[in-house]
Amino acid sequence: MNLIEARQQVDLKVISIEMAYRAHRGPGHMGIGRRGRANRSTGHMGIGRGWRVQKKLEMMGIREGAVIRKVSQQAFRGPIIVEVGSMRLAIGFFMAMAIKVEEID
Amino acid sequence: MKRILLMGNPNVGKSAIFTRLTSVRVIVSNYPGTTVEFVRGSMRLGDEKVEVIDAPGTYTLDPTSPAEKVAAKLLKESDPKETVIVNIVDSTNLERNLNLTLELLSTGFSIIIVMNFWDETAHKGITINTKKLGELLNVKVITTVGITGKGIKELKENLCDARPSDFEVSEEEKWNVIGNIVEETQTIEHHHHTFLQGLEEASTHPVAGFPIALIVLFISFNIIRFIGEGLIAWVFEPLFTNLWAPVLMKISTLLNHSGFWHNILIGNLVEGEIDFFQSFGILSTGLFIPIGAVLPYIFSFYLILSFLEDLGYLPRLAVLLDRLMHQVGIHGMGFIPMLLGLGCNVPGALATRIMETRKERFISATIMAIAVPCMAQIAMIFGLLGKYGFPGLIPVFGTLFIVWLILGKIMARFVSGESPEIFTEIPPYRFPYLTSMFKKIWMRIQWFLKEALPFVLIGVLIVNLLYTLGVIDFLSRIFGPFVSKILGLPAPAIAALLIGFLRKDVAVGMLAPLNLQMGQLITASVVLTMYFPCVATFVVLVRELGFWDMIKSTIIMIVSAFFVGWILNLIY
Repeated sequence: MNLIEARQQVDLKVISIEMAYRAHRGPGHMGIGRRGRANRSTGHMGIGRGWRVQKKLEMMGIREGAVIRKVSQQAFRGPIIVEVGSMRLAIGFFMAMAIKVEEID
Repeated sequence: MKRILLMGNPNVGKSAIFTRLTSVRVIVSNYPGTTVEFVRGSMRLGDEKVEVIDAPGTYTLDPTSPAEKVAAKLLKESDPKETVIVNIVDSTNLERNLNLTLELLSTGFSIIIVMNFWDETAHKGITINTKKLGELLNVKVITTVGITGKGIKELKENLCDARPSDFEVSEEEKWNVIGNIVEETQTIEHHHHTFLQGLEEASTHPVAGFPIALIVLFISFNIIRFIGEGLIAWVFEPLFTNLWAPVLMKISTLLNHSGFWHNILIGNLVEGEIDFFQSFGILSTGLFIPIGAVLPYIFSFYLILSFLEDLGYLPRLAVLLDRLMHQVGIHGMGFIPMLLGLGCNVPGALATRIMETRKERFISATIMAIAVPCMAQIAMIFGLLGKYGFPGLIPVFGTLFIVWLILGKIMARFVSGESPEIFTEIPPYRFPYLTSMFKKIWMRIQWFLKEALPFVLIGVLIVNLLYTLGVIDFLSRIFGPFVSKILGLPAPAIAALLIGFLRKDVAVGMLAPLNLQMGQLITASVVLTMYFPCVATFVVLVRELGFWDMIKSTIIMIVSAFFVGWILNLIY
């Protein structure tokens, strides 16, 4: 389960962050018939970019084994707000998709 | 010791502590990325005068945005023997802050750790054993509340004793080590939600967030207009007409109501009287534009902006607007340069530094410079078009918004580079600390008076000189047909376009004596906003974007301004 599918307001444990996070499926790429220009509008981010995103997430405390909480999720693939410790972060939809989590009982 | 470097994560209160140490005032707000450039000050430490530098916030010494690069570069340029790093840490987020702390410890600089927001730990049920933390890291740890000044004295006393730490950790072990340190020094009690936290949930709620944002913006807009118009109608206009105008009339009589100096100082009399909008002398319109017409709006705008900044509402608005901002190829935080640009385009242009990639910075700087009028210009547009009410104002601001959206969409498509997703910390709501809020407003007003007032006076002087020397008549004859054909404006309007390079508020003011129709005023207001940034913004943009990108940006501005002006001329 990734962070998008996860329930809100329950403790979640981060299992992994997919390094092949590619933001060329980013927000420019929505709706029908826009597939062709998505790459151009948001650019390739590829694996290199994925590394960077993983590092950034790590820096903010989202790393394997961390316990986080999903607070809210904006409509239409908007940003997700998560709580890490006592801090709140807004993260993009596709970044959230790369974060694999499981519920803690 | 010669230099003190304040370093820490974004939004941990570095600027507040800097102000306390040096009494140099800098802007303090409650969102990450308020400081995008370093600020220098100095303080006395015993007999020594020490340089203090407030660095932009950074999460790591391996920078990802231009603001973070400034911080990393500062560290590289400092001499380890003569520099003390004051590492400011958000006490409520110890774990996240320790990453930078460990990186700083490994640089070999003398270092002292300041746990800021110490008062908030109690509300959040957090207890931190600072003594133990100091022992583990082998550095001095001090607790402070930057905004009230608590703990600053102790910090000053301990600055001289700062030593390098021998603490070392490998990259692989880092997160484990941080985890252990946090476990050993910090305990968190669970506690009940407060009123502010309830508000936090509501203001980023995917459904309730939008009506709340609309209400906030609606109230803000009305307060800005109410205070701005109120100050003009009840304070500044009476002052100018009842006190200043008689003085000017005396001067006018002394100068025999005509001649070169009369034209420069007083301008033209309208039916034997001074008209502060139309006379256009340095002492009449030149003083009235910045002080009588613009200053009241500058004050009311910054009052509201500062309140929202200090409260911490802006990052939440960024989350709500994220989808809209992605339409123009930037993420939600890109709305902050736009909002600051509404006050003045210069801080707006500087704020584009919080964006990571060149593409985002190019797009946000260009659409801000084209479609976001500054408060000085808005105040003048209100002054001229306000009498028509919404039918006069909505076409201006509606057109600018449509231009913003369309140009942004086109650039999102064609400018190469990346548009990353939003990734930002959302600070907790904090009740604005009124003293520091009003200091900030006062700073911004001083800045306006210092930077804008001389430019307005010079602008009015140049207008008069150009008229007297016949330059404007000459230009009207050459470009007049072009201006009237494309934009439907009378030939002398070319003078406004010329002065708009210098100051946009003066340029809009120059339309007043031309007796334009509503449609012409709308076209002229839109074109004056779009066609070129004022000289102050231009200089900053060249520095931020580089020469070639600015040339591209300028071409986009001029072409789109005349195209939109032409379309408006066809409509009206």
